[in-house]
Amino acid sequence: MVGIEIHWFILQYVLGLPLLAVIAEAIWMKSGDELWKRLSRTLTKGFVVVFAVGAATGTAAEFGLILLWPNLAEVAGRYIYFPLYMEIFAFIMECVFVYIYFFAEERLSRRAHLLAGILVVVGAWYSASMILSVNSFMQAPANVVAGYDPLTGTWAPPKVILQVPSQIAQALDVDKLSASGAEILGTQGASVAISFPSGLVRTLMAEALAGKTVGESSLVAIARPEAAQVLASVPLKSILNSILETTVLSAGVYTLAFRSGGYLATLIHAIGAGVTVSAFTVMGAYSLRLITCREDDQDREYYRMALRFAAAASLIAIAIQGIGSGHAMGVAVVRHNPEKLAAMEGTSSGITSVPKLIGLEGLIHEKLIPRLAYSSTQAKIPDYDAIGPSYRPPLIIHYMYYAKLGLAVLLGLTALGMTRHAVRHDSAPGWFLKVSVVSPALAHATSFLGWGVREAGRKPWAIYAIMDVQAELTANPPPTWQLVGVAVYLAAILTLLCLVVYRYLWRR
Amino acid sequence: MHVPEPASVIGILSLAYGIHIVLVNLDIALATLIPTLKGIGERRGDCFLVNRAKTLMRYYASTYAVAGVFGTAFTVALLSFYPSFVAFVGHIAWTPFGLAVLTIALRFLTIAGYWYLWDRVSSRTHLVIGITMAASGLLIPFGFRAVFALLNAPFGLHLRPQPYLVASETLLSNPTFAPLYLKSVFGAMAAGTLTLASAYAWRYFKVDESLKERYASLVSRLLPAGGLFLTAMLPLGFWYVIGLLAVSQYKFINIFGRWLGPGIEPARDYSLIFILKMGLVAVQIGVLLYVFQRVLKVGELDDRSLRWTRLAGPAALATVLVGEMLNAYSQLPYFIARPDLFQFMPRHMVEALSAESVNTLANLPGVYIVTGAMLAPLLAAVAALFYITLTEAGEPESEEEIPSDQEVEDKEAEMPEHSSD
Repeated sequence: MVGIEIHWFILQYVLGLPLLAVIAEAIWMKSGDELWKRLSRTLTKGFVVVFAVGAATGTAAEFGLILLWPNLAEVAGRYIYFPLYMEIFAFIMECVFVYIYFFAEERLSRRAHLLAGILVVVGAWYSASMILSVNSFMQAPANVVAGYDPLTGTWAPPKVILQVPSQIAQALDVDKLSASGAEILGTQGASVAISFPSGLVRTLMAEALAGKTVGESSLVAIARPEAAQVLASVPLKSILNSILETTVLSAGVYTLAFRSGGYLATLIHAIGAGVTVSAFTVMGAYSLRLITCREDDQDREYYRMALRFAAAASLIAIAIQGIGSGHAMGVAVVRHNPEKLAAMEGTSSGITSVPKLIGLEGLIHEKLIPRLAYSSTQAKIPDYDAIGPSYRPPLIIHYMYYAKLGLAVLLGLTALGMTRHAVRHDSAPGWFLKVSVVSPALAHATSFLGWGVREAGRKPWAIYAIMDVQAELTANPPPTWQLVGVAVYLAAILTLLCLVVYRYLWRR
Repeated sequence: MHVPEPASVIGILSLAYGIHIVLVNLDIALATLIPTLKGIGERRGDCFLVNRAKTLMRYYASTYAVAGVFGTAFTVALLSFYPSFVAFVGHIAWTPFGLAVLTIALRFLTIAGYWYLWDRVSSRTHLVIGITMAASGLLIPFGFRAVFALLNAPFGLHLRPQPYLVASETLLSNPTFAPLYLKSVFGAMAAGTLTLASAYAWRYFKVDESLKERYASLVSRLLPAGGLFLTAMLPLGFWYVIGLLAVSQYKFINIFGRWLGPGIEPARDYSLIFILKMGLVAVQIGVLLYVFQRVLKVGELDDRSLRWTRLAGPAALATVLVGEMLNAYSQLPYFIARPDLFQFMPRHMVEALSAESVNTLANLPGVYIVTGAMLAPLLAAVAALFYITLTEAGEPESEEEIPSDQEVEDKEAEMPEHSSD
């Protein structure tokens, strides 16, 4: 987790800084003002240095995924491999054009150099679009139907619609299937569409990955006795693989992950987070420059110009994040992950939720959220306590979510104030510059909390309604001290990187 | 029905791994040679050597990134085509892969540090970063080669209660591990040193008369070093083959194929690749011997010697590529080259260890079409990147183009980017 978080910490700059550098370069090409070129070059140096370590932490995260969650890697690699495979090309593109953009400034025409910069942006965003499709699939697979009715407020476990090959379907007992909560939806070619309760799918997936045979598995409970006898020694994995392959082929090998619930909102929100963190970092950095430089410093004008640019970028980015993509993310959670919504809103009698604490529970939980989520104040948001215990995400995400909202509002006000000052008065008062210096840390904290809500809120699932966290783990977990050691080591690498960046970019 | 592993799958994996491994070998050598060159240059006050080190560093930074990208590409392609095998390795290989990943992270950081802090920290600090960079480069293959040794013969692999690996057994008991690791390190140094010698020999014929002596001097230092590393490879290669004969006869027989004589039937005969590899080694030895006898005869590195030296580097890199492919192909269709042990393994594990059990969802025409369409322009872009990094503000054409330390400082001070940002 530490490796992935460090990767995300760095990746935000890979997503955001190239865009800012390219915009600055485009302004320079149009205005001819050399200060814009200088700003573009500085931002380029920044993302080149983080790109290298981003690639390293990406490798660490990739190997960490394979070594610690090998079963998840296997399932993703087998059934939703296509975006991962396509990400290879995004990564090559990103890498090549980052270095061309950096090294070949003197060799390329202005337009060609700008084009190389645009390709860096495209490469980084294309890469993100592939990885996030897989992450979105893990949050809300296209073939899963959530089991919450907002009109009655009743919750039921989610259902997974699978295409079962006819040969296997014939081995299943219809009565036992119905008793288990499954429902036959109809035939499609040589397969039968069956809606399975997620509890059964979760159990079968865990048993298959543990190497059990049909005879040792829960499949026996829904199979006809004679079929169960014949298939007793067959690995369950083979049967399940056949079902899942048929399902994936039917849904579309190349498109399945991209049709996950909330994919587009996720993509825009994640790229937006990168741009936001980058813009706030640039704003904080140039605020620091203005605080520390002398009044007669010849670079002061440059710092002011960079600050104005970064403040405007921060304001635009945080506004889009809050009003646009953030809302779309919320809608996706409402639609596809009602259990997560319940945890985010803390609708449990077991905790003191933030709305309750501030005395606005009625307004927020009974009017505002139903209105925003379901466009009706008659609708009810899910009750956490009514959700089955094995389907509940941890309640800690409630506090993370509200802390994130609070920080986001604070960031928005900072960006608004800085933009107003920078535009009207060319700069900002000293105390406000100091607030601005802290804003990159706040932006990172906001992003981290958002990421935490999304990932911790996915629990108990590794893939929602299909595979739980326990099933994804390695059969040979390393000792805790080794995991802690690796986490400390990666954190130290990040600290040293910060030192390198400081020396390279900022030391006179 | 027996379905052999698809050639297209092996082709994609070979392409990604081939580009990765050739660049990695080059980079292991460069990581060692660059701090050495810079250190010598600084000690002697020789701007030419320091500038050569800096030019090489620019090349190294970009090739290392490309090498890393293709390493990731290989891993992801392997996961797509063989998810069960990757998961199997993931379950057991925490220690060797974990070590490799830690050193990779350190390597990236030291490369970034060494490159971006050039002239921004003291020479001594910079040298320490350079030494760490070189050391991490030599250590990365340690973990990876432990896994390769495991794939030769599963020393240290226990099957019950569930498959797990005792890494110390793999390292200490597997007779193929030590020679494989040492071969990797010495082979990389040989290939990198000879490639650099070839590159400078090629440069020798492009530059002004005033600089020829400097380039010839560099070649005269690099060639003997390359020769020494190459010589060390011969007993190490023999040691590895003996190890294979002891614990992985399936692979041994496939490598030597028809040359082992009648009565021994290889499952797959890769002896032609072995012959090709030996031919490439012979080219390198031939060049070294020829240059050696020319130096004895004329007393210096003359034009004729330098002309032939240009062959050594490409031959060395091709040897790396062919050698790696031979090592990988000769155990096909098995990921662990001990089919005789499969009878003791559960069925799902045997399937995971077979290259024939390719993911049917990935083995589709659309995947290959997309691969071709995307990869072709990107490989062209990679070539453009290498061309740019090799030529942009790189090697000087004449003595006048070599800036002194003071000139370098003056020039950088004029650049806006050098002022505080």
